Amino acid sequence: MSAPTVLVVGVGSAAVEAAREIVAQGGRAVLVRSLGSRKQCFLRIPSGIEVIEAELVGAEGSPGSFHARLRAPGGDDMVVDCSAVVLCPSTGDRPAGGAASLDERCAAEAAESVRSVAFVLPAGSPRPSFIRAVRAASELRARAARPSVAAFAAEMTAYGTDEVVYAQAQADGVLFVRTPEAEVSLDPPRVAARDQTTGREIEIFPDLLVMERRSEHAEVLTSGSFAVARGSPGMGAVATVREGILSPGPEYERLEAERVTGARAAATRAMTLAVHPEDRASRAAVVDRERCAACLTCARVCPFSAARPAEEGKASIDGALCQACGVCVGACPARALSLPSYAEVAEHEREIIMGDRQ
Amino acid sequence: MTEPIIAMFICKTARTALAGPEGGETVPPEVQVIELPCSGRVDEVMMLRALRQGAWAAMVVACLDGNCRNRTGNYQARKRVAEVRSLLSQLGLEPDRVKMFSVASNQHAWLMEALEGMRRSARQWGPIRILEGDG
Repeated sequence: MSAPTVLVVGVGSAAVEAAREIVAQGGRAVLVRSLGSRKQCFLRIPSGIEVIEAELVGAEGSPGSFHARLRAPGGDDMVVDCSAVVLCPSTGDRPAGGAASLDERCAAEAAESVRSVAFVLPAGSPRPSFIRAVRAASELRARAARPSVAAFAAEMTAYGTDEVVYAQAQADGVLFVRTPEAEVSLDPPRVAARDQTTGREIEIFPDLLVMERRSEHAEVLTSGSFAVARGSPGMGAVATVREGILSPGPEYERLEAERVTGARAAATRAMTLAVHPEDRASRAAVVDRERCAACLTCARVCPFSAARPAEEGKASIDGALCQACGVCVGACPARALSLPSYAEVAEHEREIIMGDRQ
Repeated sequence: MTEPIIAMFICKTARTALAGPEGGETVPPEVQVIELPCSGRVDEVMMLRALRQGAWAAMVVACLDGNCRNRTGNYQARKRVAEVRSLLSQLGLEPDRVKMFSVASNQHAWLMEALEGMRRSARQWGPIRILEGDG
């Protein structure tokens, strides 16, 4: 049996990690990414992962047989057949004009001539920002030129062993200023704030200003123009409402280790579904068109939008979306719907309740 | 004094709560367990027929709010249970004979207590006085 293909969509480290995990588990990973205005991507893609520079516009089908439609930057469309899809949306950090963006490479990419650096993390920054800034700050302090480094943060969120990294950075001479809102201007770069701990005012004119974007809470995962909602907790940690499409979840609030774990979990679940796709269609609810009154109660009540009006307005159930939960069966006023897989139970239930009791 | 017959409609996921720490389901024989794919499958007819076919009370056991694997199944179940309770009281029967319970799949002790509570109440009420007759 040839290796199943799993599509991984995303530009960040989560996508790369998921793709790596797919290959490690014997699958064929196709990394689809749309760099857009980013132009560069600092991440190294391990060998064995195919990369397609395109945007995912849609995916038809079900686990084991998806047809994913991709649109390349030139406007050409292509279809990739795959067994499962892993979506890894990223926050899309975009730096304020003139300031560098806080990412893994900002310290390495800083010019040699930089003599003073300021990191600014306003209140509402994603959880992992602080420790990323601390690591970058330490890296800069380790340079021969020993630039002065100050970090302005609303909260010093160093978890677990990260506290050691934080303490070391302070010992290295990184100046930490606790402030919910630093005054930042860009021409020339200037940062001013009042440290909440000591009450002292501080104002610096750094050569390099590194900022984190304030994150917005996002319920819907987007990857290009393809939006999929997360599943409920009962459906599994990495599920979306669509079977066969997985996602580690929103990236911005996650620490590095959580991101890696989430990406691997999504990849593992994708491989499981790719290798053992369930035959969903045979379990789907069935419409008795003679009884159906085209009232669309089922369509309104279905949590998965699997029930839709079809010919003559009567209900039709999409086998790929139906989760065989039975909510529509119970709701149908005409008793036109049934779950074939539960027909035996219905008979049995009748028997055991009737029994010979009185 | 015969033991009350209780019908328990329980979804596949919540059914794990019926199993005790040793692993087996410890349900007395008078309790008829009917497994549903989702609590949202339960409907008014199912609950009423359970009563007319001999059950003294019916429990609908669903997952906790927000935890339904089908997102809204347990909300549907709650609506339909409320409808049946309303019908029962309009028919002159005790609405508490049909009751909804929300459990996590590890709440075995809680579910057993709830079951005991229903059996105690059912002993007070006795069987349904309207029987499915020949007419």
